[in-house]
Amino acid sequence: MASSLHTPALWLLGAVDDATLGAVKRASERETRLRGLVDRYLDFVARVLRNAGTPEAEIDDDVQRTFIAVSNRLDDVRPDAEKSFLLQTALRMAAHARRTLARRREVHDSDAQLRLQGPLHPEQMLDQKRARELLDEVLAEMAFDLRTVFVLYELEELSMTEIAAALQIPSGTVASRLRRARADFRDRVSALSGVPHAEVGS
Amino acid sequence: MNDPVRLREEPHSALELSLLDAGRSYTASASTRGRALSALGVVAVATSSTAAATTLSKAGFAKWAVAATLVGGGAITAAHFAARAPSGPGPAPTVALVAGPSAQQAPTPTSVAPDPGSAPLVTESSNTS
Repeated sequence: MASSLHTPALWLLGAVDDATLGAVKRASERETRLRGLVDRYLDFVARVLRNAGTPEAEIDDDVQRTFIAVSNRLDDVRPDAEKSFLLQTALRMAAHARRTLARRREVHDSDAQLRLQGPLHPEQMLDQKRARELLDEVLAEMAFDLRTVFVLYELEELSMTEIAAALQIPSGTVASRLRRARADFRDRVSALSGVPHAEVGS
Repeated sequence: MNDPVRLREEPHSALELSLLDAGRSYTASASTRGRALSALGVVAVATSSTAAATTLSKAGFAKWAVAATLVGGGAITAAHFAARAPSGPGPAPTVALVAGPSAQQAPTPTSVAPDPGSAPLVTESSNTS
């Protein structure tokens, strides 16, 4: 009699344990993967956002949105495509932020004009914070497609093949944009230092 | 495709190098990581894991509660039927297991020895009579 009573209880308990343990294991694997993503790519995402035009004050929010986007599609993202997915998402975020910033600048255009007045003193050039501000100004003046290729190649040091794959554009287009972006960047930096590019260039 | 030499490796000016270094050295703030993890629900996932573990432990507790109930119920039922069965001697009276207080108590030994001087006095008087 006692054994007939034990059997359904053992069956019930076995089913509960399997289902719950499976859910716990999946949640743990997901958490581990997300933590790994943040550990590996947090600085990369923040840097791409910043250099692609997201204002400093909005970096935290856009970093979160970028990782949330990958989290929502985590099952669809192959492990070897995580960086590319994050990059594309971050660039979309930055483009949105850049458009928003452009609308604000239409209102406060006079403030923007005040920031790039006159050549710089050497000590100003070496100041890191000032350099960051100047880089923001230079990059902000570049066309977004040129800026994106420039940032990925010169600052993130991706190869042209990687950039073509990430942006889903032909390699020749990447090479063309990079050539124009570099010329544009050097012209603007030369203008900042008060020396024409032709006099500085090799 | 041959990648061109990067500007940082052949800078045209100190300012250019400074700007490129500024762009490369940008890192997320210390709080950004925690906020990102919170936004991802990793903490919440940990909480969910804890909740799942709690559920699991509750399930385990329920398992043992059910098992104990079933086993206990079975044992009580079996004992009940066994007790009502006519065969076999009845249970031993519990009274027999309990010793009476008089059997358990040994006489208390006298700690004080009798006075040796008083007893011989009576014995001597009876012998003389």
